[in-house]
Amino acid sequence: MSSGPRKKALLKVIILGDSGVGKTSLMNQYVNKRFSNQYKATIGADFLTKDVMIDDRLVTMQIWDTAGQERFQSLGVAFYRGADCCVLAYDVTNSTSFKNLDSWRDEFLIQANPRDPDHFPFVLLGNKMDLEQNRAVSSKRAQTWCQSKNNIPYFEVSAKEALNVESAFQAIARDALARESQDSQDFPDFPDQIRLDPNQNNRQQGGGCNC
Amino acid sequence: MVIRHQSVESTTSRFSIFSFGIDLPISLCDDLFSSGRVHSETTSDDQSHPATTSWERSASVSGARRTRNGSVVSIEQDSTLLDVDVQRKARLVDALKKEVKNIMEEAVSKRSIDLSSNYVNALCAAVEGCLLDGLKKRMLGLLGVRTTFALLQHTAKSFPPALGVLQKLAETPKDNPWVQWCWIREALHMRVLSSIVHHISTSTNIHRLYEAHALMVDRSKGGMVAALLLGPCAVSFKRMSHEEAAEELVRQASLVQRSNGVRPPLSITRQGSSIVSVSERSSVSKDYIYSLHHNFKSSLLYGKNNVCVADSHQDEPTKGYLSLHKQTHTGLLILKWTPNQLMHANSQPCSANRENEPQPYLFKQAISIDISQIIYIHLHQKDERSPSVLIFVNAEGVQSAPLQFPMGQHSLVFLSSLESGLAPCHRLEPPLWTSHGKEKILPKIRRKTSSQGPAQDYVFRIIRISGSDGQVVDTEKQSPPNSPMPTHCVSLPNSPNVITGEHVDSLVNYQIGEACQSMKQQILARAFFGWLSYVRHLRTVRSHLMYLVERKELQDRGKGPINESFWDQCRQEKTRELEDEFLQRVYWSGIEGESPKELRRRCWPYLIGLFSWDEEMEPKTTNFTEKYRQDVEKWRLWEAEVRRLDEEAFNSARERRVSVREASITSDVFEEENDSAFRPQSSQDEERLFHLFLTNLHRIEKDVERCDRNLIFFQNKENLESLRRIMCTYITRNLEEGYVQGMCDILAPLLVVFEDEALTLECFSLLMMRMRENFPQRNGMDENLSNLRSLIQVVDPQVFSIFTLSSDFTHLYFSYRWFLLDFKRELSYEGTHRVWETIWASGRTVSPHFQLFFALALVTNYREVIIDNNMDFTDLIKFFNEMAERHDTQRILEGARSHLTALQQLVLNLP
Ligand SMILES: Nc1nc2c(ncn2[C@@H]2O[C@H](COP(=O)(O)OP(=O)(O)O)[C@@H](O)[C@H]2O)c(=O)[nH]1
Ligand SMILES: [Mg+2]
Repeated sequence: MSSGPRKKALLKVIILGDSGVGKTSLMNQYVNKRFSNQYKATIGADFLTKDVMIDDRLVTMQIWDTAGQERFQSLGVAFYRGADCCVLAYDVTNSTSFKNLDSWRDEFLIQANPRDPDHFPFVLLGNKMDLEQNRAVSSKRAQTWCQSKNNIPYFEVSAKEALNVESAFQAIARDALARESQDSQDFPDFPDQIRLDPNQNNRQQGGGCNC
Repeated sequence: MVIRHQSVESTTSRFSIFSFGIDLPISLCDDLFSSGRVHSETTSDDQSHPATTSWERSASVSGARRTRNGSVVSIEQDSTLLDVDVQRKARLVDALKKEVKNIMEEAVSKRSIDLSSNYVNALCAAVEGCLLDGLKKRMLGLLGVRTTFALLQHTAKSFPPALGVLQKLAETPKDNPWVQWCWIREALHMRVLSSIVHHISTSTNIHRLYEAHALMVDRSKGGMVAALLLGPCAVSFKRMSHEEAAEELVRQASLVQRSNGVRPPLSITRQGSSIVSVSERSSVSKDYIYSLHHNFKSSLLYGKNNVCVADSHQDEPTKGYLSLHKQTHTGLLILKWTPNQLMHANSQPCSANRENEPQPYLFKQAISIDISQIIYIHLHQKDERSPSVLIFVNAEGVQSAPLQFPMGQHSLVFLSSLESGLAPCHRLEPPLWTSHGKEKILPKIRRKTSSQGPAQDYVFRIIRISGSDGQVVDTEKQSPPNSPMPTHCVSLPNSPNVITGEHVDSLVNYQIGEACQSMKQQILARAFFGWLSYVRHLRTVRSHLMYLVERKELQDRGKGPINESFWDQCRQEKTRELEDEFLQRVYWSGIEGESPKELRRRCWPYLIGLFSWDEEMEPKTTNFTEKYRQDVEKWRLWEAEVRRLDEEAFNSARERRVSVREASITSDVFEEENDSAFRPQSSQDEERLFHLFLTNLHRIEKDVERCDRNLIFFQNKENLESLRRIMCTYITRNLEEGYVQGMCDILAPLLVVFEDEALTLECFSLLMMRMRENFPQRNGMDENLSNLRSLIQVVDPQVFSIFTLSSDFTHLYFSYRWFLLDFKRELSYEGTHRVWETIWASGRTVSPHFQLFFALALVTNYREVIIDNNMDFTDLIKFFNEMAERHDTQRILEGARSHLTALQQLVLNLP
């Protein structure tokens, strides 16, 4: 490993999923530790940042939240680039939101165009688990889907009741960091911030591992 | 007498072209360009126009019946008859000038111009127009077609280049030579058009070709046609295929991108801090170099490379670029000399190369002389083949550093440029002589010189001319009486015959060749980038921005916001004047009154255009309500069906879950749902529409649920239900369009004002006509982003340079929500109402794009923050999201209005 104190890393995380599954609520629950029914529908894009300790490393998570309606997907290309992890979210009481996961995942891979798409870290969150009586998608069904996609980690959460949110995002950070540190081993003196430029992927292509 | 008067003009105009042609083609182009497109629209006030060409300048002098030399030529004019002819000719020449200018502008940015492009067509048409003027009947086509082809055939008999064109045309029999200015296009392609026209205009039997009043017979104007065509004849033309044309576009696009970075600021000024920070030396030097080019504020009269000045740091004299500028507004002449090193360091578009940064002392070396301070100019020249030296002496007797011109006629050319720059208020004393009407020569005066030696020394004084009586007034009354003054009328041509000397014509042709050759090269090498970016800048204004605003300006009459009593008056009298005043007052001050909400409820339907000005709200309102009721009933049926389906789906899901749990069957985890299976059979189309409604209803409900719940108004469930009902009715009426996120945000502020579902819906529907253009899958958003980009580029280049220059508009995505919702999310409800009514009022008065100016004002309002923090894509999104509902609406509105006015003024004053 590299010597000396490691620089603070920035992890870019994108939350995707149908409109109304609770992306904005999840992000706010994780970062601001509160739930509100006054959040507005997201238009365009927004993000929140949070500093977290992962093992003994301080990292900044930059969590991006975008509009959920399919019609706004074309905007994605600007926001997805340089992502370190993609969080897919659906609403356990809404089977359509589950069915649409495939298209969200595909769309992300197309627009973000990460190198090595087969191993790009995704995490699946099933939200609104507090509404168990209205559940329309069983855990089993979700897990099966995750297995079919190269073992995506799966969490059932509730933004409203703050169930599992913290641990889910910890896992997300870990996944993103694993990818990020892989990168920074290629480039030991990687600057403070991960530059969100589109060339990043190209630059690192074929760099191999130097360790 | 008339002819003689005009011949003076001819002399000067030709001369100015040749001198530019040889020494500085740029200024020829500049001159051509500055009489540009817009100029031709305002031909009536040519003389007051800041960018008047040298021809017009000299024309205006002779119009005042004075020759350039200040002597009076007495002319009897039969004004009415003459005026008609003169005006017609002037129009023809102006039309030609305009097309030449367009094509030259195009040539600078392109390697070659497509021969079938509109530029060429327009130019050919203009040339044809000039040649047709007063052409004798028998020279016209046999078939009654008005064409100049016969003229070419005639000319071909005596002029080989014309014969060449004729032969070339015969090779391509496809084109009928009698139509579409075919031969003109070909002659242009072969670069002989200018000489053919010149040949025609100087031909001895011209009177057999043309009527006496014809343009070509006119010695001055006719000659000008040939002279104007010199430039286009130097351009390379090409017959292009479509692919090549596209390639050219791509190449240009990449050029645009590269030159973006150094775009000089335009003259839209902002209040607050100055646009260009002078803290950085590179930007200082860029500005300095920029000032050397022909630009908005000054025109370049002369430019010459490799003029030497002795340098105290070095033994060798330093070479540099000498240029003479005339400031557009003040008319001041400024002489500048810049060391070559300084020029080169900055002439490239991306001079990021730090090593090239000029040493500071070079800046100190640069010379700038205000000619109005100069009294004497000394010229020392041994003979024609040795370098000449110019020294400027100011009123206090202080001498400038000697400027050494390379050998040749350069100093003479410079002096004649200076002389024409001095006109009409000043002149050189003694004046330069005109030999045989075409060439300027140094006056045969020698002072300070031993007449035996070969060396020639001249002293010129710059003196002022006052009034139109041609009286010479000394700038310095105390100065000793000047040198023996030659009777310079003698040096003027006495009759038109003097002009046409055979040797002069050959010289002219030689010079044409020279001029054409060096023209493009020099433009590209020296002035290219500065000039190009300037032109592009103006082009941005021309091509994108000038259409954003109406040309009619709107004055704030200070009558304040709309109040109840004014509105009552409006509804009583219903006059046009009141409507105008209403719109203007809304634009400048908005709607207030004692209860803004009540007043808006009454005004808005008229402002939006739901009712025409002289219409009462009844009976339309009643009809709206009735129609609304019917539509609600219609979708209520659908809604009931949706609820039933939802419940069934929910129950079946629960049953399955229970059964799964009880039977512990884990393999079947994929539930299948089939909504329509439960429905009785109905027609296919109805089925489809029902499904559209179903999807939309779910979307609407999700968003209504989240719509501005922080507002007391929407904490009331009743109002939320109203919102939902209106939205469902709208969607029922526009099922194919469907619900798109954001619609609720546009609807909600209207409902808050109207509190009447039917009326709200009607207004919303009208608004959506405009707003839907910005929604996904339409072009409005891209247009807005692109226009905003251009606006920032022109108004605030410094901020512009901070925004990442990606080819798409993604770097402006922080403004996506602004345009989608007309700033509804950025402002409080009060602010939103205020901005919306300004946008609507603007749409009916000054600009249908007020949102752009508000967006621009939002950006410039925070320019310091943006610049200081060097905000990137992410920072900007964060910043503006965090600023939501915290903006000073009033201040930004004011900024937006003044940006709009500034653009209007810029457009009105386009050169
Ligand atoms: N019961 C419940 N409701 C939630 C939960 N998370 C979000 N919501 C509600 O779901 C709706 C959509 O939430 P939002 O975060 O705006 O969804 P987004 O469109 O994905 O950003 C809102 O009305 C939230 O109050 C949750 O965990 N449980
Ligand atoms: Mg959201």
